[in-house]
Amino acid sequence: MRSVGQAELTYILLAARWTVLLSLAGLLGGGMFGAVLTLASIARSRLLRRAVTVFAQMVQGTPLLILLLLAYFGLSALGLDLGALLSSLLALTLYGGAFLTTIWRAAIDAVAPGQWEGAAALGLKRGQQLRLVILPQALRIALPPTSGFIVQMIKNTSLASIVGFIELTRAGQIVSNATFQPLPAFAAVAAIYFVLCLPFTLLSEWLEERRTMPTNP
Amino acid sequence: MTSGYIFDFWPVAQRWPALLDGVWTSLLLTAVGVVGGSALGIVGALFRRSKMLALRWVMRAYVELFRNTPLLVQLFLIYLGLPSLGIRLSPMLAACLALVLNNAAYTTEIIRAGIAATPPGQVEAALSLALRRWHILAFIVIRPALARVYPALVSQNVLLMLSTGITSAIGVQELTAAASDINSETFRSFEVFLASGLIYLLLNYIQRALLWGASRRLFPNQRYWT
Amino acid sequence: MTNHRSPHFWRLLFGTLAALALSTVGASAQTFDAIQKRGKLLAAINLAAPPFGTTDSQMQPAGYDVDMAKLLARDLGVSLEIVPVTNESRIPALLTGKADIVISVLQITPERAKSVMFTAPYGIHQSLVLAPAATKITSLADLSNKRVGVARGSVYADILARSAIPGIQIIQFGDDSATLNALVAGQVDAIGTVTFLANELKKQYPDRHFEEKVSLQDNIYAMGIRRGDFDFLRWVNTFIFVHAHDGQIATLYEKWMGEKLKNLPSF
Repeated sequence: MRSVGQAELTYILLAARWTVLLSLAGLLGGGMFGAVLTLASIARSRLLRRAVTVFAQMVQGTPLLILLLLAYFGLSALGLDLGALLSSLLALTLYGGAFLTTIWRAAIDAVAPGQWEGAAALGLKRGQQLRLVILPQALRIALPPTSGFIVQMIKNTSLASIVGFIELTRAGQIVSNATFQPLPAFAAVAAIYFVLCLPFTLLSEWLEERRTMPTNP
Repeated sequence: MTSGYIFDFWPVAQRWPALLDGVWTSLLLTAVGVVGGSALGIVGALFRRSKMLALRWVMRAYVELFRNTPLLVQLFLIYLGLPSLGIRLSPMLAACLALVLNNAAYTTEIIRAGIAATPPGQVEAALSLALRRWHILAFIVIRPALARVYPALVSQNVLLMLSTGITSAIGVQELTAAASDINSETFRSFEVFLASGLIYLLLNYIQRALLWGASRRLFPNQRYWT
Repeated sequence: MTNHRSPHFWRLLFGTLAALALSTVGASAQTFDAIQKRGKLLAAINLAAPPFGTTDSQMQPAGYDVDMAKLLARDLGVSLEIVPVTNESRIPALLTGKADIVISVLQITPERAKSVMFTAPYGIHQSLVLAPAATKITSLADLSNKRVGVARGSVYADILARSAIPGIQIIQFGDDSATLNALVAGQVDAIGTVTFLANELKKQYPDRHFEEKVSLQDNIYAMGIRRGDFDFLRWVNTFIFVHAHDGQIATLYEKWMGEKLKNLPSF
């Protein structure tokens, strides 16, 4: 009977290109947006800091599925037809930005307050304090959750199937229902996700070793 | 001549008992995932820093496997795959197990980073004060580590809550499943999505409030941005 | 540290909802003309729902719904574009104009008819309960205290729920594949399904001796189009009338379902 063979595996592999594209778009967009939000969250303006908090929490609390639906169908209903790719990019950017800013801001916070003061005592301006003293230390703390989020993002692109993308997970479902063999089909899907995600994890761990202060045993 | 879509929330509102039942199940799944995932995460973080190479590697393999593959696959493996080994878990049990293992893979890494950031002098100072090992472990190493990475843990646990929806694939009747059923019955897809989105948003605030409230009891001296 | 939703949040939320409520969703009522002008029919089909929407060994769209769509496009004299949807997105795709028609084994109910217009039925099949030979089930009542798997939102889910069998545990899976494999893995005692899928399962696992136990009521299904699209509705009903009569629908049905098509009720 029909098993998960070459045609099926090729189908799944090709579907991965959407996963890659959507992930890249979401991470680039989300990363830039997140950086902006993070700077805003340590601004002197209390209103700005508050706004970032409210926004980040609202977006984080909304399932990505809803964000995608609002961006694709919702905007379409209001007359703004972005198309599947752009609306997915919009939703993923908002989503990524909100999560990344939370992670990054927490990492900055975790650096001891004394570091800010010490940097200031050395005559560094606020921007230089951030760049030269705080960020390198925050980086170590931020790396694992960030790499964790990158991986979540790659896997979350599976939701884009609802706006019509036949991406990796949806391809797995289609093959699973065509062959009635979910385990081989999804094993192939898992293997591809693994190959896509693992490099980020490894990269982050490598960076952790090289660029940050030695950890205590 | 355009036809306008008229929003009608009544069919959805009318079926609120099903939604409420779904919410309870989602909350139960989340609670199990948070508690189990956090407990396992602490253990995992310690194992990841263990002196035994074998233990470090086993934990490393587990973390990478569960973080880099989709929850749906893990769910299917546990529910449909384990029976070949004679282990048959109910949908709810399988879902809980998958959520705990999945969440723990992330929390292990988050907590590990927190532990790694322990200032070097802390443990030495504690030893010189002749504190007992388990006391040092719990209060000098683990607790401040948790405090340090708490915002990341909160984010991760919120993500967990939002990902409980995937368990509807193996028959767990939680919120997403209830919403899907209502969608199927009424075809009021927009209303259903908005309603479930709002409910998840509400659950998000409740979960955050609970987790941050807990942090105030557990880590009274830590200052946070939010 | 407490945080509270600022007034801006509420205004934004209700503003969005109001805007959505007042906006016009959906395309012109002259879909029929739009299709002709475009030269293309957009049909929303779920490709993970065998045997209606599935893929063949070349991973090309195939299935009963797909074949119906191809026939529709051919008679309309336009090309066909299949809009791949999931059960969640099939109605939004229709209502926001991403598709002209939904062909997805839509069971006809009055509640659903408030949101979409159903065409005349294009299929009617009997669903059944499938279980291993060893399991003793001769009537619905025997499903008492058993775990029965169904695909979420399917007609069997509906029937079994409404028959209120005491102690029955209905487990709704995300799709047919999960349902079938749950039976194979022994996670459920029986499943509600359709002839085609039952046959597929028997072919794949002949040594497990699955057999049909109980027949459930007929499931009548139609295509869905936007409310107000009367021109298009009339055309599709004409199409169905003609091909029900000349046997083309029956041929397609037998090809995919493995059994003869009963008389399509008039609508």
